[in-house]
Amino acid sequence: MPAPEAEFLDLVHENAARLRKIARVYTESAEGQRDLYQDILVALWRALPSFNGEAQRSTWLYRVALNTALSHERKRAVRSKATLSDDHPLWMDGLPTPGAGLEQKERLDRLYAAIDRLDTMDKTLVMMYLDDASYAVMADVLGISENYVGVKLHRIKKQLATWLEDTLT
Amino acid sequence: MNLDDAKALWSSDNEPTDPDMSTQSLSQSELLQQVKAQSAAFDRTIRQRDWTESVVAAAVSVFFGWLAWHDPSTLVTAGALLVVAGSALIFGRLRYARTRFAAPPVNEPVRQRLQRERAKVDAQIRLLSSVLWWYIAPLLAGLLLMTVGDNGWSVFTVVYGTVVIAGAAAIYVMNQRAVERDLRPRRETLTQLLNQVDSSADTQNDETGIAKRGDAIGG
Repeated sequence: MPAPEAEFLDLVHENAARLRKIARVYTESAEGQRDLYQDILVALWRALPSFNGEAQRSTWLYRVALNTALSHERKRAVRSKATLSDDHPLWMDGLPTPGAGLEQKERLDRLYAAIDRLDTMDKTLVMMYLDDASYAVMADVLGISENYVGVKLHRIKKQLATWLEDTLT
Repeated sequence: MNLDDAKALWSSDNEPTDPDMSTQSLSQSELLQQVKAQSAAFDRTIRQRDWTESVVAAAVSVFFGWLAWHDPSTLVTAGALLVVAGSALIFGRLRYARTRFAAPPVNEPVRQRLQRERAKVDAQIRLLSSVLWWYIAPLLAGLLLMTVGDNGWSVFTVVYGTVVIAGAAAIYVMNQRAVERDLRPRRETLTQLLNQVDSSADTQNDETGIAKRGDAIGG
């Protein structure tokens, strides 16, 4: 198999879960998540020749995936701006209230719901933080300084921790 | 639950709930085939759009060029030449607007890409806001000149002229609506994202830089 194909498949299989989580954070419906996931795969394939090894592979992947997700979200946001509230409720319709024996899926749903309360750009930082990415990678992906990443992340973590403690205990 | 628990929960989320998002549900060759097909479809759409534009511009130039060459009326000749020049101008403006911001690299830093996209939206707003001068006026003037040259100041000329002017007005209104309904909200969203990603001082400096570069290129 030619090298680009093999490289692409490696990349996708190594990062399938990460890409799927990005799709879930930036779209609500299952159909939207599928569309975005497909869009990201196509963007990765098309961008593959631009990966020259200068950036870390994870940095390159985050950039391609997040730029695609943000672009996808903007198209959706312009279409639905008139009907969406900026302040998403934490508890989504149909979810049970928190209880002692929350199942893994429910706990995950609530984690995603908490992330969904964040600003669009804060979500990118939180996802990378939860993936254990370094400040250097986050700074490279967003195009800002590491110090600024630190400042922003400090605030976001505090916010997220409060929401999680309120709802996931 | 604290953030460490959240991290553990996040990393445990490795199983796709939707089979269509599972790379394991497709063989390697199927996955590649699907991605390549979508990529090729995208390229094909761009090629078709460019080809259609080129063919239309060429057809308009040939037809009205032929009219300008063969019609004895000076007004018809002037009008036809104006239409040919107008279609060349439209073709050039559209092509330039697209190539100037052609496909920003998807692997560049998020902040840089947002700035580039906002500059692109600004250029689109300028293009549509001035659509009267580079799109509507040359074609409208050319068609009206040809009608007067062909029919003189007759009832037909007045009726036809009114219809053409009404059509041109509708095109103008549709373009301005697109600016207000689509482009300005898109610009606002991009500005909000840039404000979220960066401090206001740096963003303003970069925005000014891009605007200056854009003006220098755009003239």
